[in-house]
Amino acid sequence: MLFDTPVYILFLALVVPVYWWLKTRRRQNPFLLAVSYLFYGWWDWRFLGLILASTVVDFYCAREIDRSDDPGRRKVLLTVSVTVNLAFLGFFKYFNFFIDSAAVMLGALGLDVPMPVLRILLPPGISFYTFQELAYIVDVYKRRIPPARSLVDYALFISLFPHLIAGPIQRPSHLLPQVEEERRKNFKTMTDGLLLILMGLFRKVVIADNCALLANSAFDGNFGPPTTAVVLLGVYAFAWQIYGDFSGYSDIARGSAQLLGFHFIVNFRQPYLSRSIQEFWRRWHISLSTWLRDYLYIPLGGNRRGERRTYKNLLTTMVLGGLWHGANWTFVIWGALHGAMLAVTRFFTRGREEPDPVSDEGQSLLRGWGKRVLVFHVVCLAWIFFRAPSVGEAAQFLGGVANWDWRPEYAAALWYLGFFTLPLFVVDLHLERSGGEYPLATAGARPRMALAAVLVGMIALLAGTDSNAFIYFQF
Amino acid sequence: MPSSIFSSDPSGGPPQDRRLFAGILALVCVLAAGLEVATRFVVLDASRLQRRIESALAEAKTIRPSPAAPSVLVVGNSLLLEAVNPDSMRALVGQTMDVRLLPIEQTTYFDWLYGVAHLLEKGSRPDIVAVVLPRVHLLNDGIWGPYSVFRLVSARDLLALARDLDLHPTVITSYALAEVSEFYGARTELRGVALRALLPGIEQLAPVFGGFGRGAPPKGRPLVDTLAIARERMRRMKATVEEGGSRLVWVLPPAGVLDSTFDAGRDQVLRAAREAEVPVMALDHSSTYGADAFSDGLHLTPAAAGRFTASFVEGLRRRPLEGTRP
Repeated sequence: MLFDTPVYILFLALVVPVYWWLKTRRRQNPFLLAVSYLFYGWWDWRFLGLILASTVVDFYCAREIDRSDDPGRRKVLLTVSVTVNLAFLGFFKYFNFFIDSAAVMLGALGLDVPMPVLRILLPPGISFYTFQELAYIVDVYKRRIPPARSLVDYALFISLFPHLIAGPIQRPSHLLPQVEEERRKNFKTMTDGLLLILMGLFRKVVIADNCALLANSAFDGNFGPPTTAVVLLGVYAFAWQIYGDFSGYSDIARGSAQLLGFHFIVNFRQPYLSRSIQEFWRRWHISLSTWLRDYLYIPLGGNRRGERRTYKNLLTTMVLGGLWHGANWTFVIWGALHGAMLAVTRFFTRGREEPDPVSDEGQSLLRGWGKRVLVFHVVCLAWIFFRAPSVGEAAQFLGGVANWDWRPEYAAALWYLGFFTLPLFVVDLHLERSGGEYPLATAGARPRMALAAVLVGMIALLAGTDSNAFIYFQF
Repeated sequence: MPSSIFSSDPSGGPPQDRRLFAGILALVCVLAAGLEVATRFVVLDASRLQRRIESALAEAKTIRPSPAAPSVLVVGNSLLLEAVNPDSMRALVGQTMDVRLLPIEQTTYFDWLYGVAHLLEKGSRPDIVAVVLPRVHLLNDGIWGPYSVFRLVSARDLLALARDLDLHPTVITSYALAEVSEFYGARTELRGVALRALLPGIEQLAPVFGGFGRGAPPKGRPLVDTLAIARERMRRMKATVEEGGSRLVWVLPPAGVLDSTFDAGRDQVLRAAREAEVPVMALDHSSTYGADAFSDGLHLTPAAAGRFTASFVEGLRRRPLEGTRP
């Protein structure tokens, strides 16, 4: 069930009133679990077995870990749980990637070894719920949180439908207590939820889907061989497409959760206004970047074991973060580029005080915006590898930068790009100043009604024609 | 920017929040209803394309059999739209035939399998139904989304369509909405109207995006599948047309610059038509329509369209139009 389809709106319109009618958590949680499995099984019911299996394994492993004081037994249980989760993820997501890569490497060595090829369907959301399960089992092992009180509560924490397919990746310490406590109907947060859903739909169907038309045309060669203009148009369009797409998804997820009395962590904070790569990763896909920091970078040693080890940890974390996105060398390169840029930035800013992440105070306006433009273009460079189907095609597309040519349709494409990206840019500037989660979040009733009307109008009239599934669904 | 990633205020809001929540919900409902009404009574008038399709559909529904001047309903997509010059056709047929053209861009086999059934159900009674689709569109597995459902598919056929196309429940639900909501069904066209108004010059991007009404041809099946699929599909179309008391003629139009599989594919379609007992007008000869006959590699130039129109009318005349009732 995609968030931008009528069936999801219908689903939500039925679930929310029934959920509140049930009144108590004891009745609400089983109901929510059932509809969450319906939501998940709507794609392909066969994958329900997988999520159920990993849920049951993690629930019982965590419970036994908590009960035991024997460090050896606790470690064995942790290993079992982590292995099961990573085995599922590894098999369904990376099996063919590693087999293909091994075959290529052996072929390069002159060894022609027949490799098994399996047609494996990627279960939706497996990367997201696996990370959530890993966070849970590690937190219980480290005694940061108590284990879930019941299997239903834990299963709901893992599969609550707004975050199930593409996050935001929920921390056990944040969401599990909400699952285990009574939720109170709060019309303020529900109103915010409604407006977040409208804002998310605007980001997805107006901004992302329209930018997708341009990005797909550029990357698929519909403009002809790549030229300077095509490369720039294509990568700018993709940058705003993926931002609109994923931040839109996150807004709809958060808004849907708020209609049910839950609160999800914020996933995006105007990432294209970042003035450094570090800042970008504090604003982009925050639930993933903080997960990688807490469960990978810090356990690897973080920045506590000297400069060289810090650079290595940064690179390792970002390469694995890239690989998390997909089983392709393009994602590895995308992650490596970000890791390298984080390391380079760290090298040149050693010993300097970090600038205020919000204010341009202490530096000229021009310098602040210069940094933003530079960071945006560095991020765009990496997006080329993220978007291209293969490393070779990414290199070929990038090579088009040197091919200066101008055709009349480029001007039309530029207008089109500006028309669909400037609104989101203006929204971001407003949010940066206001600190709100959506425009006019703290305004009175009339401005917010007006906002709702404008959003509905734009969604109705300017929604992209092609139904592009949310990009992060494939991860 | 709030310092925490957990930034919403968890405390309860004031009593007027309930009113605002209800107000926004009501506003969304009112706007949705307003869009529906506006679509039906105002917005579609702003679209030339829409007016043409509405008018052609209305004409198609009123066509009746006639012993004096046999009636022919011609359906197809943009290939038909660009290949037949209506004025020339009217001049050529004169009073001898009642020919009504119904081209809808981006449509292919399943649009018309269900579209013809829908028209016949709505009272259309032509002597002949001429389906103008090339091999690639005959073999295409798909329809033109909610717009096609809205215009061409009867609600009672929706489940059959879902079975034919192996549609996911999400898509079926969207199509069901397109059956009841004129706005949802026609929103692609509304978007086109809005964009053309807001972004003059956007038409230049149509060939690049493959949209705004005239897309690239859908990808066809491998040649090896042609015979069995084409035969089955022609039989189904024939049965649908004959159920409504008409006869089917299949027209193979020129469909762009030819590839290496053209001749073999064409032979298979002709053989499938023979086996399905469907008369075919093969008007796609490469000798008549070379590369210079196409304006964009796919659609005919006006000059080539003149030649096609004459061949088409001549073909219709040569068919045994008398005694055409099955």
